[in-house]
Amino acid sequence: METSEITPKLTKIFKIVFNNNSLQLTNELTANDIEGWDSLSHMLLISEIESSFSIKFKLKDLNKMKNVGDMIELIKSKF
Amino acid sequence: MINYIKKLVLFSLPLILIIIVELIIDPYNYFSEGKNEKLSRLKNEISQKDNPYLFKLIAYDRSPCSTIILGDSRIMGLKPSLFENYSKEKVANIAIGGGTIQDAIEIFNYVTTRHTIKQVFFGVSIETYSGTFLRNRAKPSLEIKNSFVRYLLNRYTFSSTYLICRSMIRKERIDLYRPPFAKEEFWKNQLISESRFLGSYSYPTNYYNELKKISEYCKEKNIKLAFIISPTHIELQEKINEFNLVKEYNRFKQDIESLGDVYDYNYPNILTETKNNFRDPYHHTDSVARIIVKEIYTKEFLYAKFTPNFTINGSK
Amino acid sequence: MAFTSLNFLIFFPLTALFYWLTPVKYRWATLLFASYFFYLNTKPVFALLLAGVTLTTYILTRIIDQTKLESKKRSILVLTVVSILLPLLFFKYFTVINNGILDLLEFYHLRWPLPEIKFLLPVGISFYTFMAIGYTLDVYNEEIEAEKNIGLLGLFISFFPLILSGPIERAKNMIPQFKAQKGVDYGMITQGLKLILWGYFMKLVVADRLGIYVDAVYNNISQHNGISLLLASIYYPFQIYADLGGYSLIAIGTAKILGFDVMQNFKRPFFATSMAEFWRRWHISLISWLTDYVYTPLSFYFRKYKIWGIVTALMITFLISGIWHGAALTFIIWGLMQGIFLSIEALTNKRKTLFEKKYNLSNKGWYILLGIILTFVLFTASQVFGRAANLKEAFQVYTRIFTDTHHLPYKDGQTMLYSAIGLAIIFITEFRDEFFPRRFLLFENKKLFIRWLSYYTVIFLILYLGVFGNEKFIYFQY
Repeated sequence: METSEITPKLTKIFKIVFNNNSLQLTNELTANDIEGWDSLSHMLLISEIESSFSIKFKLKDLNKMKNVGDMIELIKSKF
Repeated sequence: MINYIKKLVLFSLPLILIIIVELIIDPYNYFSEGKNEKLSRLKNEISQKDNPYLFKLIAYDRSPCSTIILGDSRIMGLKPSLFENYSKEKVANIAIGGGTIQDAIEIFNYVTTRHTIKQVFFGVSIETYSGTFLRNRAKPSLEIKNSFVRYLLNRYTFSSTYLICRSMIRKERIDLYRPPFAKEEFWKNQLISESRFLGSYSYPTNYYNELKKISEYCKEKNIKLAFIISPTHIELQEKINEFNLVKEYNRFKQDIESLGDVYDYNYPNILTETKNNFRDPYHHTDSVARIIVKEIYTKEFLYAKFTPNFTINGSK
Repeated sequence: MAFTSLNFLIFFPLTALFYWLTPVKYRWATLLFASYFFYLNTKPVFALLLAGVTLTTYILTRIIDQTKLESKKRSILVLTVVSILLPLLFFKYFTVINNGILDLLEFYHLRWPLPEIKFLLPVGISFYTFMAIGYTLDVYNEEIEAEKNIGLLGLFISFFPLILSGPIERAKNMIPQFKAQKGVDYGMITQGLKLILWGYFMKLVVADRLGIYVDAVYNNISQHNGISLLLASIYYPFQIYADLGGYSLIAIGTAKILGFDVMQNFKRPFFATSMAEFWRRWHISLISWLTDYVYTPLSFYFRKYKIWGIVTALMITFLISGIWHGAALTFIIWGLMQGIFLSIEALTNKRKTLFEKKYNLSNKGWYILLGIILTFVLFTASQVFGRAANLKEAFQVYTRIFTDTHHLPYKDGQTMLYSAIGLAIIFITEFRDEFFPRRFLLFENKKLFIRWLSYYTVIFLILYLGVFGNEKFIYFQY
């Protein structure tokens, strides 16, 4: 999968999980930048991404995701 | 680096200066006896009132006596000079104004671990023999006394040093405690404030247990233990009836009678009926103090109700 | 030795001096030596335990690093974590478990004389155990490489500013700092001194002062009436905040003077508007440790249960937090309460956000205040279990607050006045930091005169209002 395919799908997931239709994703975006993105909602996000892209993350992967850019790279690597 | 150290020293300068002044003045005679007469007078007036625990205990440690008097301001009236005619042994009065029985116990424990005591007079009353008044002010002062660093860096040394300096510089007298009214008004005021004590009375199981331990300790170490219930004016004694504490008062007396000799002056008699014998409802005058001391030593009891405790003090 | 003892006030400047005199390459060794010296001054024999835990961690993590096979790696990980945990479990929970077993045997009328050994808890074991486990997990997760220098690892685990009461730091943050060969940083020394000064203020003026009242009431619940119990229960959260918060500041300041940056442990917790936010501001080092090493893995493994996976992870995490605090049923209840509060918040979060957006509440002053008060009430209610000696007394406190009007409320004028002054000062300072950061500065003021005046004011406040030595004004003994 290409980044251009991943980004819109990811954006849709973010919009649903964080209840915010005006969200725009950038590579540098982190949890600090989005309201409601904390350790409680993070796992919900991860779970949604897994089911949406039909992939499975490893626990080790979580630590590698410092921002949205990392996230996209990680999703890419699963294909 | 030198600059930084310079800054640190500059910053500490006020503190260092204060400590130096404290070392010179030494308001509680911690470091030495204090020979300067004028300074000693100031210390007696100021330091003794600022922190009487620290002042009196340091003074006691410098010239310990084998007979001590503990309690609150009522028994402070029994000045050491009054005992000179009756006893070869020197007497130290280390009672503290406003002191609780907890204070007295703390001081007793402190003194007996450091000096040989032969006789103890405990001033007690129904107001202090109460489970509501447990404040221990002696302990923090004793801890200050145990460390010269604490001594130099505590608020009492600060404030006493400051007041002494101010008095010397401005050549004015500093009086820390002044009753705000004239005698008549003060008298009435004191009677009203008695409700603070009797209105919140609760039986002090803890004090009974602590005093029992002391009683047993005295028996073991051959220390004569005696309790003195200082006389108060009958108008104050009346309050006991007013607050329905007669039963508690009797229990109080029974308790101490089981622990040591008791000299009870606090009941209606000619002495306690006469207003002139009292500065205020709680505190008797010096002439009464003289009578008390005389009676204790001559055993000629005109006023005291004396109850000896043979189990503790053997035969008389 | 405690930070508030005179011994420490002599030990630390000397240590700092030796530290700076040591050639840069070997400074870590000076610190290691000082840390063990510091620890030996608490209870010598437990230093052996500390060294033992360090050695075990060192050997096993180096093996983990060399191991390629995933399953083998995992087994060694489990072995390591269990070995590190064993001493903690043993010392902290032996008596409880022993008594539990004895009670069970009694119930079945079996009397086996199990040994009744009284243990002293090795100081700081709860803290250094977690630091060692954190390090192990970081090595396993390939966040860091296993440290080859056993001295550096030993220093990380025993670092004297942190070992007694935290903050619980991470190897990733500390070991590189120990390795970096920095010169003396005067700015950091000044910063550290300021933190220490404020830490002493919090501990000596507020925490120990409030403790006088709280101890007098909670140590004798049956003697006090409802109002006193309520007041003591309200004081208690402030007392532990000032106590642990103050102590943490002294620890952080001490490390800062030596040139090390240690994580913040508290961030004005009483201004939180929800329990979730509260736990991001209170005992941050512990919570982030639990989040990273317990909550995250758990919530990850339960993620297919969505919100209920999160709830389960929360409950388990805070149960562990409760047990970490103490080996008693009351702490378990405390932990469960936190878990319940956070679970309810997580479950109602979406609805709450919608509600707030609809009525535009999130910026309204009264709404924020409401959140602050509610959070405080919830935390205070749970802390009754943290302070009471056992379950029975905790429930006594609850019932008597509402029913007991006999006895007189316990009044201690001086304690209450001094506490009020101390609390007011902390409140005003934190209010400023929360809502007007970078304004009305005192310790950070541009003018030297104002800064120095502020320092002296705090010094005198400490000397005038502080509680020194074991001053218990009230002395109950039945």
